[in-house]
Amino acid sequence: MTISLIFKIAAVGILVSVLCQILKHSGREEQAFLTSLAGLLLVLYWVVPYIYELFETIQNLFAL
Amino acid sequence: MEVMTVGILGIAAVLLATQLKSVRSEYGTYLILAAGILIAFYTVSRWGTVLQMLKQCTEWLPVDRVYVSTLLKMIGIAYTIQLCAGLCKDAGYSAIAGQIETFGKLTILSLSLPVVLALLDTVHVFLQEGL
Repeated sequence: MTISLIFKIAAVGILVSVLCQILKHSGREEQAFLTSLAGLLLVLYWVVPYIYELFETIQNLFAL
Repeated sequence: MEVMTVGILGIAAVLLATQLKSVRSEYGTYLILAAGILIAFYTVSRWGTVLQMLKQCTEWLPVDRVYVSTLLKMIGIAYTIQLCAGLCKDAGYSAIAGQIETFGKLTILSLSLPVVLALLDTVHVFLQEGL
């Protein structure tokens, strides 16, 4: 759970940057932008549940 | 022990983030955000053990429950604010971090006001009797 998330995000980052370079050089600017957007959504899809769970735990722990 | 995993997690995230920052800067920020959240999981679990012991100590002491829960709230607010402000500063937006910190300080101040009022009331009662 823990360290694999870090490596997944790094892998998505590298993949998106490579894809964007290729798409940029082949002249498709907007698809490059869409690819980076897709990468962003994927990373958010992974990270947001953790953020929610963390703040839920903090709320229960400190009775906020 | 968790100390190892937290240390390795931090170093791995920082190394990958510096690599990604040069290629695509926003992924460095996502990586640091994810690492911060994961390390915060370990910190919160450590907080859990500490607070359990604190609760047992306060049960024996003649301390009013309200003050202990206010203290707990303050600790929770301080920790969350410090975590979020730190992440915002890392992303390079120190203005937002400053806003969050100011809000946190004022929230803690507003939480502590009833306690101060209670103290002033007791002092006032003593002064009335004295004169």
